[in-house]
Amino acid sequence: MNRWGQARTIDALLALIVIVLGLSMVFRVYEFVKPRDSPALGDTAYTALASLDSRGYLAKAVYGEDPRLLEALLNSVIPAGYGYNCTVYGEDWNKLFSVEVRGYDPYKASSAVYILFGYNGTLSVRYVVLSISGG
Amino acid sequence: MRRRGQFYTAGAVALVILLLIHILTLPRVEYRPMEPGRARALRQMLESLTANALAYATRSSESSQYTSRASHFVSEALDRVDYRILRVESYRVEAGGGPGRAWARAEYVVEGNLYKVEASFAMSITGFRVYFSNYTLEYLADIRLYAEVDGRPCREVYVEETMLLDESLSVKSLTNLDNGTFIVVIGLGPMPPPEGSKLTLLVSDWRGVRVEVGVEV
Repeated sequence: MNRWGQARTIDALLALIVIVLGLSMVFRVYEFVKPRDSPALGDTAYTALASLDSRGYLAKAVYGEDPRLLEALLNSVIPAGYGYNCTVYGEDWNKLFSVEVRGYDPYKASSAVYILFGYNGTLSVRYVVLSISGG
Repeated sequence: MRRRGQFYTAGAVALVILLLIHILTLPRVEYRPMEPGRARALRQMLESLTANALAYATRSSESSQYTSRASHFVSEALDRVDYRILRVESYRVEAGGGPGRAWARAEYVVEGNLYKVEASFAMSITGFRVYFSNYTLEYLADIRLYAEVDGRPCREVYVEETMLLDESLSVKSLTNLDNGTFIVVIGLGPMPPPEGSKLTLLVSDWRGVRVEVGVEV
């Protein structure tokens, strides 16, 4: 009886190890495959802003405080079928102007915040927040 | 004998359990790469910052002071920016220039990543002639320029000032021939320019980085 008891204790321990290992594997695999927020929209927003800034167009629209130019520029880089809202803020996060087109849905949107540091050697911080929805 | 065997088995099982506990309690290392779009945007922001710092330096000091002026600009810009959006852990900027060129190199550490960025503007005079125009009844200087931004042909330049013998001259036209080549026509007035005098142009690229080029008439 004593030996049986020891054997069962060892069995139980081994079973416990197998269960712990199994659970650990399941959690690790879940960590790997669990659904994450799609970065595609945010990525598109960042790419659009970087692309416009690389040629100096974004600074031209933002520092010229020209919403029409900004809208035209964004329309040229954001694929059709996406709605967007682009808001420009000053250094103290005071809203300067905003552009919203094509049925933008804030509940299904991802955003990107882009910083402009100035224009033509002058220091003037602007935050450009671009939110994109749809697709 | 059997008891010894059981003892060893129990010891081995205990060791395995301890080992498992140790493995399972190790700190989890998570690799979270930055999204490609954000990484690209971050690099572009830093490139624009460096170019703007160089523009500031070329507009406010001699080339020997470009490094200190550009560093000052970057420092002030990073102080002003909201740290929740961009937190630069450290940075280093150096800049320089000479006739017809200006450059800046910078390194920024952001979120543990090192970004090395550069900004440069170079311009040279590839052709020059002075002639009398029967249309405008004055002498004109026709200057062909070649400009590069960051090592690539420049798409847009601004002639900010032209000087001959400390006198400001007017720019009649600026033609973009693509591939970084531009033709500037400058009015010299009804009298021919003195021989050997130097015509100086202050030219900037679309980011505001300014260089000076000169040609002997």
